[in-house]
Amino acid sequence: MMTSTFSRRRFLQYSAGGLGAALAAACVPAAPAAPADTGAAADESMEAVNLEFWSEGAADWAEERIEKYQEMMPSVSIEFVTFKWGEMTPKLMTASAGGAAPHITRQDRFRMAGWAGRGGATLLDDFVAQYNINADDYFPATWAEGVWDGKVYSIPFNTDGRFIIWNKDIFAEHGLEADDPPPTQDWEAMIGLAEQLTQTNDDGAVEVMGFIPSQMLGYGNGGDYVYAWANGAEFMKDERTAWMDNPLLVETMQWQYDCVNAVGGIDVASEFSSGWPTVAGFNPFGTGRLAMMVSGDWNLSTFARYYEDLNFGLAPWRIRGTMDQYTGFAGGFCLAIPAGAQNLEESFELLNFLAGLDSQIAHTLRYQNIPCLIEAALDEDVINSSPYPDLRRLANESMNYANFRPITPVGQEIQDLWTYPGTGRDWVFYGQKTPEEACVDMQEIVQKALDDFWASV
Amino acid sequence: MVKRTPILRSLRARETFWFYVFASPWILGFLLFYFGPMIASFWLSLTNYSVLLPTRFMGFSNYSAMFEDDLLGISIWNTAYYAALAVPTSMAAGLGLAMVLNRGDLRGRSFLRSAFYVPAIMPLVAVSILWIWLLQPRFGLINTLLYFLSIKGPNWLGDPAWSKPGLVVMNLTGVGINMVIFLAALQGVPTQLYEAAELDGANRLRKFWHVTIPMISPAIFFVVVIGFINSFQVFTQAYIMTEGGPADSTLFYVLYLYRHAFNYFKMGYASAMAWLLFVVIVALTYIQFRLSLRWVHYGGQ
Repeated sequence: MMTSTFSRRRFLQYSAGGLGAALAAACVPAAPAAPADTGAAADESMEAVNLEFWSEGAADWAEERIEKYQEMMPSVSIEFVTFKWGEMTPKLMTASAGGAAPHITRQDRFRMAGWAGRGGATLLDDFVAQYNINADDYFPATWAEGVWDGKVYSIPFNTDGRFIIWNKDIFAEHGLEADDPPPTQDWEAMIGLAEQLTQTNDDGAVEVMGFIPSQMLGYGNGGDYVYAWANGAEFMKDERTAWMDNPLLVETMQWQYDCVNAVGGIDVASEFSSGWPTVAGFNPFGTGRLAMMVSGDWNLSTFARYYEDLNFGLAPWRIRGTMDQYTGFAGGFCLAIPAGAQNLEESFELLNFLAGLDSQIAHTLRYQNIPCLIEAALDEDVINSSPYPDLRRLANESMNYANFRPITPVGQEIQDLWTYPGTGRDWVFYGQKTPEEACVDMQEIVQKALDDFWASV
Repeated sequence: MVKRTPILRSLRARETFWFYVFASPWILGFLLFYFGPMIASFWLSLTNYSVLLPTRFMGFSNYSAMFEDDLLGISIWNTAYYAALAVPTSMAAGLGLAMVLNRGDLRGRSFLRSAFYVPAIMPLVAVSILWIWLLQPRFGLINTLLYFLSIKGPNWLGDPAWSKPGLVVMNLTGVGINMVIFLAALQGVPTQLYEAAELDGANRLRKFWHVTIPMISPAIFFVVVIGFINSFQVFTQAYIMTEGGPADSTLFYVLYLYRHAFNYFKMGYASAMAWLLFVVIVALTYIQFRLSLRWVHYGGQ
C-alpha cells in the first residue's frame, strides 16, 4: 500500500492556490439572481425597490417610521444608516464621489446651499408641485435654507431656537427681578449684569460666572450669530460678495470682547469654560454655576431630566435698542435627495412620508425639539408633551421670526470663522488682533473661498 | 546540444515564484489602496477637484497658493512644535518604564507591563474625551495632583500657551507601545557586556550610557522615526478635544487639511497639502537615516 506525505511545501502551494482563487472569486461581480419560476414572482421582483436613508442622529424615530412605511409599502426595502452630528458630510462626499450616494439624507440644513450650489443635491421643484407641498406651511427661516438660486433642494424637517436662559435664583440673590428677562436690548447693561453676577472665591477662581457671550470650548450654543443679527449685521452683501468686515459685525465682536473682559478676561472665562463635559447632566448652568447663557430649547428636556429643581427663565433675544422686537436662530435638519440618486419617484415618496405632519410630530414627541411644519409645532399634544409647556409654546412660536445662517456655498467657512473655537473670534478674544483686523482677515478668507467657488461653476 | 532548463525548474526560480504568490495580497493591496490613490491625489493636487463640480487643471497653483495661506503656516508651526515635544517625551517615558519593568526583582512585573500597555490599545476618540476631563483646569486629575505639589496647574486646553503641551502630556497614554519595543530591546542586551563594564569600574550611569544606549540604539532609532511620522499626522486629539483652538494653537496640519477636504470641498488644495506633508516626512526620515549612521549600532557592528 502506497502512502504519500503531505509536505509543508505542498501545503503552502495549495494554500496559495486556494487564496488566489478566493481573491479572484471575490473580485468577480455577483451573478444576477436566477429568474423566478413563476410570472407572479417575477412581477413582484420587478417592483421591488431598495432605498438607502442616511440620517445624522434620530435613529429610534427613523427605525420606527421605516417600519411603518414598509408595512404600507412591502415592496420597498429600506437600508438605514445613522451618523453622529457632523460626521455624515465626509461620508456623503466620498459616497457621492464614488457614485454611491444614498437616496435620502436627513442632514444639517445650513449645509444645503453648499451641496446645492455644487450640484450635489437633486432639484425638488417638480416633486414639491406634484405633492402640493406649500412653503407657507413651514417656518420661513427653515424653508429659506433649503432654497438655492430660487429652487428648492430640501424639505425642512426639525429646527431648534436659541434664547437667553437665566437662573432666577442667582438673579434673586442679587436683588434683581428674577422673572424679568435680562436686558438683552441694552448691550452696555448686559456687560454690567455679567460683571455683577460673576462671583469669585477667595483664591480668585470663579464660583459663579455671570455670562460669557461665546460658544467657547463646547459651552453655550449659537449666541455668536444671535448677537450679530440683533445688531442688524449681515455676513454677505450678495451671493458673490462676502461682508465679514461689516462694521456691525466689528461692533458685535467688540461687544463680545468687552463682555468677556467684564467677567475677568479671556483667561478667567476660558478657565471657567474649559473642560465641562459636553454630555447632558454636567451643564454649568444646570449646576448653578452660570447665571445666564445663550443656548437652545433642547435644554428644556435636559433640565427636566437632570435638574428638576432648577429655577430658570427663557426668552428670545431682543433686537438691540428695542423692547418688543426679537431675533432668534433657526438651526436644525432637512430631508434631501443627493444628486445621482436612482428611483427618484420612490425616493421622494418616502421622503414625503418621513417629512409629513405625523412624522414630524412623532419625532418631536420623542426628541423634544421644534418641527418645521407650523401646524406640528403648534399642535397642543406637542406643546403639552414638554415638561415646560409655556416655555415650549414661546420657543416654538418664536420660530416665526427666527433668523437663519447665510445661504451660501461658503456657509461652513463663515461658521468656522465666526463661531468655532480657534480662528476669527479667538483672534480678538486672545488679543492677537483688533475686531477690525480680525474682520478684515475673515473677509479676505471668505471672499477668496467665494471667488474660488464662482470660478468653478 | 544545448540543454534547456524548463521554467521554474531551478530551486531559485521556484522560490521566487512562490515568494511573489504569497506576497501578492500585500502587493495588490498596496497598489490598489495606497500607490493608486497616491498617484491619483498627485493628479488631483494639480486641479480644483471638489468632488461635485467640474474639475479643471490648475497646474501648480494649489502649491503656490500655500505660500499665501497664513493659517497653513500656523498649522505647520503647531505640528512641528508638537512633534518636537511629543517624540522625545514619549521616547524617554517609554524607555524609563521599560528599564523599571525590566528589573528581575520587581514584583508584579507582568501585571505592570500589561497595565501600562492597555491604554495604548484604547480607541483614541475615547481616550481624547477622557483627557478633556483629566485636563480640566479646576477639577481635573492632573491639576489636582499638581495642587498637592503646591503647583497651580495651567488651563491646559483653554490657554494657547498650554494647549500643545497638554496634548503632549495626553500623548503619554500611548507610551506602552514604546515600552514594549524597548523591553524587547533591553532583553536582547547580553549580560556579559554589563559584567565587563562592571569589571572596568563603570557605575550605573556609565553602564546605561556606554552599554545600554548603544545596544538598543536600533530600537531608539525605530521609535524616533515612527514617532515623528505619527506626530506629523496628529489629528484625532485636536479634532475631538479642541477643534483647533484656542486661537488656532492646536490647528495641526492634518486637521487643517481635513477641513479643506471635507468641510470646504477643496480636495485639490487638500491633496496638494497632503503631498507637501509627504515630502516633508520623507525628507525628515531621510535625514534621520543619514544621521543614524553616526549613532545607531546594529548587531555585529
